[in-house]
Amino acid sequence: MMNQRAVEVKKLVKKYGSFVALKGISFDVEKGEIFGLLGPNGAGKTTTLRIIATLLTPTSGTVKVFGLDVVSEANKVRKIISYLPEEAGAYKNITGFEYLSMVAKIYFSNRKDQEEALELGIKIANLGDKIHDKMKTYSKGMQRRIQVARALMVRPRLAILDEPTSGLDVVQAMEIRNIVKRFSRELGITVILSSHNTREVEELCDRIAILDQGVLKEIGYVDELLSRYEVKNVEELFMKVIGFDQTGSSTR
Amino acid sequence: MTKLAPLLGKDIKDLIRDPRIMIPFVISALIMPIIGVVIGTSYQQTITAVLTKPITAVSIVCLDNTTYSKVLLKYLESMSNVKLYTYHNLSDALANSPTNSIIVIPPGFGYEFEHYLEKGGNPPQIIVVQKVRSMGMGLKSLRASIAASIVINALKSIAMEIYNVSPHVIQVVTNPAYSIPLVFIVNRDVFLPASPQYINAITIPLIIVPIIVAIIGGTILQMSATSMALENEVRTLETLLTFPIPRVYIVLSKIFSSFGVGLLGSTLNIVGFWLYTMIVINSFGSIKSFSSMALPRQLLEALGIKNLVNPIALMVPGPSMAVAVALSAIISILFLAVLGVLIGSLCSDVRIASTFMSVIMPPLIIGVYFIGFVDPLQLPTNVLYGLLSVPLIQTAIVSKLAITGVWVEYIPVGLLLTGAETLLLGFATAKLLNMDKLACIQYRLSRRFRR
Repeated sequence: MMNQRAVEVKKLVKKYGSFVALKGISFDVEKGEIFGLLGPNGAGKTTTLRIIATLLTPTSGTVKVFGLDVVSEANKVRKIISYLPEEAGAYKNITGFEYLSMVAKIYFSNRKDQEEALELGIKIANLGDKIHDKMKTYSKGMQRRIQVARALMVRPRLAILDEPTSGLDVVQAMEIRNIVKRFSRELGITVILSSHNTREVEELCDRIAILDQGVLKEIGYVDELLSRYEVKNVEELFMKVIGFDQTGSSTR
Repeated sequence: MTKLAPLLGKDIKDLIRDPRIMIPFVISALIMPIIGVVIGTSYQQTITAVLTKPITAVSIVCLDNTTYSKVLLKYLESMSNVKLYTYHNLSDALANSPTNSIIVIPPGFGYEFEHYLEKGGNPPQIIVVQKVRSMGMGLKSLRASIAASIVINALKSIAMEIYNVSPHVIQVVTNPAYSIPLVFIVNRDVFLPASPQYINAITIPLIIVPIIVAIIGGTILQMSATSMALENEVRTLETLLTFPIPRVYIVLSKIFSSFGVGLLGSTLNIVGFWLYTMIVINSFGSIKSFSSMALPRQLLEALGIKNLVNPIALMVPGPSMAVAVALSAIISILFLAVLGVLIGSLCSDVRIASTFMSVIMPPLIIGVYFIGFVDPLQLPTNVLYGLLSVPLIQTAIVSKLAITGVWVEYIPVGLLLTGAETLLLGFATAKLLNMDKLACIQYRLSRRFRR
């Protein structure tokens, strides 16, 4: 059990009617790492994360989170994960404090644990007095900080972040990346995130997997992949792996 | 269940602080009495203008040259309080008459009157035309009847002179006794005054209670559907579904929060509607005149008619019926809250939920209105039992039956059935809270509604 992996995905297939979103992908995520799923729109990133988060069921294949099957042991999985959907909004008429407080009460029964989680959430969100304002007054960046705080404050063993900086400006996106990097390390949280932002993935992730049209095209440590493909950055790597040259023309 | 409390708290706060939800409730509580005052005042003004203002001038189109018509014209000309304008045809009178009331004496009127005086049979006819340029209310047409009474009274006087009869004899002949019509509500053991001026007061409770039920039901259905659709729209449902809580808690939280906030809002609605009803009924004069009406109370009491009540008092049901109404209302509200959650969860955004609601609501409202205007006991038994098995419509029927205190044996069965329907719907909704199913249905609905 000591070497148990955070996530084990084996021959995962997901079909929506006749459309096959995932075509038998397999990969592992090690404990404590930040793992990035990179791919163009429609590659199957969100579907993969939703299956890991117990929201969707696989058509075939297995997914285990710390050894727990996401289908047959979904309730146990939900206790050790937290999930941040892409473009997640907020409850407009409750305050950030009330929201974090609700989440703490849902995850923890003990009052001391609830208070600690809430304190951590407030620290991660770093909204100052605005934490007591209704969330409808928050900017998009503030809303995302609350959501990221919500996802990390419960100290999940695995945080699943779907496009955590999608729709944010450069500064807001950098703030979110810093939060994820700092607190995942400090709290020992394994993170699996999806993005089509190559810079974000390069900056945040230890290992990456490149998905395209439901197929896992490449997986490995960032440095190792860059040297293997003889490219300077993840953007070039990404283009090369999915079959485009640097001018954007298809080589597939 | 301790995990349900924070979810419920979140949902209640989110609903109750939403100005789009609470402002309409507060406004309806404030605006309905104001509407009542406006309607009542304008109604009373119209009554005053139409019924109490005397007619001081009329135009006569006499198309009959018989003796009796000439006598009638002469009599009318001699009246000091009514100025008379005479014309030879109706179109001339309509175009040029300075008065709004035009009385037409048709050819042969005198012969018919003479025949009526001597042999009885059908009375002669006169035609009264009331010219109007605009109408605030239909009551203006009553001026024609007032104008007609001028001629009728003139003819009465002519007849009295011919037969040398004193006015009181005519009064006795035309109105030999004063009747006091009463309605006895069998199951409530009460009497109501039943003369025409109390009809409004008797009818309004029978219609208004089902309407109130419809308002509450519609409000709660709309609120729970919107609340759930919003979770989909801003993608908070995805987060909720990954929380370590049973999915049924998400449904229960939505149901109870919609139920609580909807009940609070509906109470405000009911208060507003109640005040509106009282003000409007008062303007009809029924309540005021009830307390001071000239009923021979001593005679009635001597006859054992002691519990003569104001019709509005019927709106407070007896204890057993009150329990049935309350149970039915709770079940209906819960059912609609669950239905709203189900509809909302199927809709990817609030606009689709609203479109969906516009399809779901009319049949429910029509059903409740139907109950408002129908006597439930006149329905075929199987139809009545069928309707008593439908939430909301059941509440409308039971509350209507409560007014007359009628207990139908099927009511407990209907309550059990609607309770079971609510549980089943809740169970199905909880089962449906699955991204696989929801995503598939939402996708199909989005395509259908956005075409």
